[in-house]
Amino acid sequence: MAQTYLKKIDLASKAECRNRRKIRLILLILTIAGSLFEITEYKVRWAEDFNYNYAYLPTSGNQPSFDGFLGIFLMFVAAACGLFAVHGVFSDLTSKQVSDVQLSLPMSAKDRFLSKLLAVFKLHLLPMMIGGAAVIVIGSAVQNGFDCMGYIVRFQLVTFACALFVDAISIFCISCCGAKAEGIYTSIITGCCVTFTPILLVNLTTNRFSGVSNTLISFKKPFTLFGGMVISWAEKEYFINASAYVEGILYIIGNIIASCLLIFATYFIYRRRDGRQVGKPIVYGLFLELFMLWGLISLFTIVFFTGGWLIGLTISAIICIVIRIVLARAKITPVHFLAWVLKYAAALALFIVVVAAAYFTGGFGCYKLRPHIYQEGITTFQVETSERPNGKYRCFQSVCNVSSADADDQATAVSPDELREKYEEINALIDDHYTLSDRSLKGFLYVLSTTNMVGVSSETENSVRVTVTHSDVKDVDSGDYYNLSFWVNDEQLQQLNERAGSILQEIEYYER
Amino acid sequence: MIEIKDVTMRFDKNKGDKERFTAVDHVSIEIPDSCIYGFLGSNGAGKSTLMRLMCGVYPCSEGSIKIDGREVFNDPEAKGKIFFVNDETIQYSTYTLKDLKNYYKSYYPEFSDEVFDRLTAKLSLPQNKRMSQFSKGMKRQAVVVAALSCKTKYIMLDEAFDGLDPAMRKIIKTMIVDELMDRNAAMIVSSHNVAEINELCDRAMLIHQGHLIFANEIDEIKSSFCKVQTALSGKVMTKEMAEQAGLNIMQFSTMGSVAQMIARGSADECIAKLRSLSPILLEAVPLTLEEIFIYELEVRGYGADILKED
Repeated sequence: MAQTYLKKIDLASKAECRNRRKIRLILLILTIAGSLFEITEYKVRWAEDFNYNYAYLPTSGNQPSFDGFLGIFLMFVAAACGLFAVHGVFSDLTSKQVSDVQLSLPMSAKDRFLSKLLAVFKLHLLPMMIGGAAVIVIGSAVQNGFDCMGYIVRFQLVTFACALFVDAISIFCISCCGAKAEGIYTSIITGCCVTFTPILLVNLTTNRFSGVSNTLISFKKPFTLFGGMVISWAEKEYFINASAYVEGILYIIGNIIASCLLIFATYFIYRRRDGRQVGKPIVYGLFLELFMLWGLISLFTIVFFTGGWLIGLTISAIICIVIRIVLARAKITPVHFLAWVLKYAAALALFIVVVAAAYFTGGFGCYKLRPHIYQEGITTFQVETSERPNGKYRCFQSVCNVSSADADDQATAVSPDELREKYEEINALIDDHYTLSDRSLKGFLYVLSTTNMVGVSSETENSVRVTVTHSDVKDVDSGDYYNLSFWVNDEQLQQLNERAGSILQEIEYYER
Repeated sequence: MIEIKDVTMRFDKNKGDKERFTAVDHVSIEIPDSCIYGFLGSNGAGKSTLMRLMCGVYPCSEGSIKIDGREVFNDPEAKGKIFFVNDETIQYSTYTLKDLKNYYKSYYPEFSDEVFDRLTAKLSLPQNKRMSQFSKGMKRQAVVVAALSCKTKYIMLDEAFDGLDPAMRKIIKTMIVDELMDRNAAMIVSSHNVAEINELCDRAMLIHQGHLIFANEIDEIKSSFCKVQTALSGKVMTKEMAEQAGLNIMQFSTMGSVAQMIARGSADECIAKLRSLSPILLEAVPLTLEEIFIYELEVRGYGADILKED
């Protein structure tokens, strides 16, 4: 019984694939060419041969990399072309003639959905998987780099995750639209918004308004890195750092699971569709409103970062109205127009409320994030203060090397307890001087009207920067893992300088 | 048997429309096995919508459609018994005949290669040409051949003979009837060509603005309407007089002293009723299906405004 059912789904998917010859050919050409170029561009070298000028890279062991660009580019183009494969296969949702044929076939909505998914898999994902596997096996064999093939495996997983993401978003959007044009442009816009908006918005509301920039914990916020942002895990640095590598693989798999879940959720939308909705630009009003809201929030976020509110708001309003006009196939009345303007205003108001909440709560409480012992090794604490307007600059620093008890540099050697104590002192310093007392409505309006994210004028306030840097036992720099910037008044600055001087050693001082 | 019980189909209102559009309004008909059923109706009457409801493209807003006792919407087994050929062929443009065969073969386990090959050979349809290069008539032929090859119990053709020349119409119709008779299948066909329905079908229904006007065997339909010519001695016959005599008049006109009327009922019944007026002329002849179509719609005001302007 199950076998007959699967055979039925398979036969239906074959029928779909046979009728998408053009897109299949295009995808095959892109995938084959991309794979061939990736194989030739894949290089494995002994680290000493080329790592001498990169302090953060290990100096021994096989190091893999992609030397060229074309192969990667073609593979990502093939991943993006999933959009057209999906829109071809799911044309029963947008074409009256095709829906008449396909909806009258002896299949339930579930059968149809499964057969179409299988068709998309065969048309788009399978060639990419085969191409990726070929790159892994042939590339590693040619370069004799099986010992470091984890890098190339992860790279191919990233490509696959991107392709799956494109398919998932396209299937979701086409299931909510009844016209081809709407299906395509909503897929593209939604894909971009899903990829970029969360990370921009989180960066804006938490990092900027809290003043805390923690480069290591940013990887642990996977919701900010969904969709196309999976590409960021293709960078070589995350291969070399073992913990980041594992984290990366988990994140990529998480992305793949998220895309699969989106496809699963879309089934419940698809099965509600029938011939009546074919031809309607957008089938579900809720989808339209969420799409417009998310699109506008994305535009506002970009405008916020660039600071050009007048131009930005005008352009976003024009884009919004144009999309509404295109979608409203019926007669447009002044009431419609007024409703659109009000919805636009509501989206803007919502954005400003969220930004204001982030501003007044110090990035939704993220200003309370403090550095903690990351791992044993060399920890450098640094406090820099700049007094305005006279420009007096002071820098306090302390290096604590827990692992150097037997090493040459005894001056920086500390015990784990001493290191913990240092952390506690620095955290107490921050707690005492970094409060949100400087946040005011005037400051918020200043944030809105300028690209200054902190809300105080650098002409009148003094800046403080606390940095904690970590290096491992081999002295390989992991970069700043904790970075905090905040503003204090003259009185606070004086107290802070005195206290920093008692905790750390002053290493630099100058006046303009 | 296909049972259509009290089926209503409403479409959601578009922006700007105040009310939902009712395409089919409480229609009930039964389509028995092994018959050829004609769907007649004005443009936009709801024929194609009803066909889409019958093959599960649309769900019914109210009522039910059952094929051999199974609700058709979203039921693969019920849908496997019916094949729908819609009024367009553009969806097959990129197919060759081989593709078309393989496509339907994937969905209908009973698909007959033998029937497909035999009929395409009979119609001399090119096997390896894309259907976009076919003439309109050839496309229609190809789809009808595919429909027959699927060997479903019911085949629905929505204006399927459009675009065919008279000779080809006859060939296709003969081909369909032969194939259907061989396996006791039923065909439901919609057409504006009433003569064609009259010639091909043994049952028919008329639908107008979503409402069912009649549904019966064609002979029964034809015998339930008649055209009467009558003249009275010394006075002119009026519509009121005819109605008082018990006639259900659909249309009435006079030319001199001779009155001509279209009435519901058989010719014998009408003659019997009018005899009470002692006419000097009394003739009654059954109507053709085309005349019934025109008069029934005329009674309902179809095209009346345009005719008045003319």
